[in-house]
Amino acid sequence: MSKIIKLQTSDGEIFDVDVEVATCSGLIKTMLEVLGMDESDKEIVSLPNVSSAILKKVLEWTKYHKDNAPPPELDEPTDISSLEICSWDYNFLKVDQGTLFEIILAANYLDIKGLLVVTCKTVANMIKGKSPENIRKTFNIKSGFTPA
Amino acid sequence: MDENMSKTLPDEILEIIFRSLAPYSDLRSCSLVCKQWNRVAKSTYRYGIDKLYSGLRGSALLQCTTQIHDIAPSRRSHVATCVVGDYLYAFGGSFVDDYRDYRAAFNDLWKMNLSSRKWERIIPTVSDVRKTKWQVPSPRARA
Repeated sequence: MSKIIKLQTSDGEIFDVDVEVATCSGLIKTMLEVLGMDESDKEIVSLPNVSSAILKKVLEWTKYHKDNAPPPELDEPTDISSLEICSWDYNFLKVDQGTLFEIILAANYLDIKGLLVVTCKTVANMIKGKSPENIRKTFNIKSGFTPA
Repeated sequence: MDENMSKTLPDEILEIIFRSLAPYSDLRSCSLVCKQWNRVAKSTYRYGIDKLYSGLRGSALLQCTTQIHDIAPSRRSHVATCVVGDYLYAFGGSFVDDYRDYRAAFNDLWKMNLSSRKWERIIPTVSDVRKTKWQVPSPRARA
């Protein structure tokens, strides 16, 4: 039987997660290596920067890619120019922008490279071919430049 | 404050995103979006140019893949290159094939549009030469 680790999100919800799934996160992997973990451990790992809604999404992605398709390897860890988004990820990331950004931030915080690059690529695709004005509209950004 | 990307995505994430964009069209648009994007786009642009130059420096092999009907410089090394505006200029260079005992040096001048990645050969016309007294240099590498 595989080990279970307890993760607590910012809104207080506790998730029982398979250690193999949880250690796809560089942060949790390092934490467990440094602190050690044995059967009797009932410690709860607290993730103050991640909400339960977002952790659910992150765990869904991690589980899928652990069981089905490992995320693509990149020459450089963050060179996403040639990255292609698989159809499962494409559908998985059909979420509103706020959620997409929160997934990016969570992937960055939890150090899950595969999820970080595929979400960043999704944003890059939203930028492609747009004028500055259209980009501002897409992402609801106020210019902040002094009008000419 | 409503959802505002520039408030929520930190610089290091924007940089990952920007590095995958075409540097002379999309990245330029990004630099005009807001102050944060401008700052990150500029540093991404510098990173790209540094990478381009270090890739072309010294004996690096220039090898172009082209679509049908496109032209590009033949395979060569020791090319003199520089970037002006949206174009990369490449002059001369050499090609050595020890196996076939074949060596060549070039004196052709090319320019590549950095956003479309299309090459164009620059050939001085007779009037160019008369007007500017342009003398085509002899073939050379490491110019």
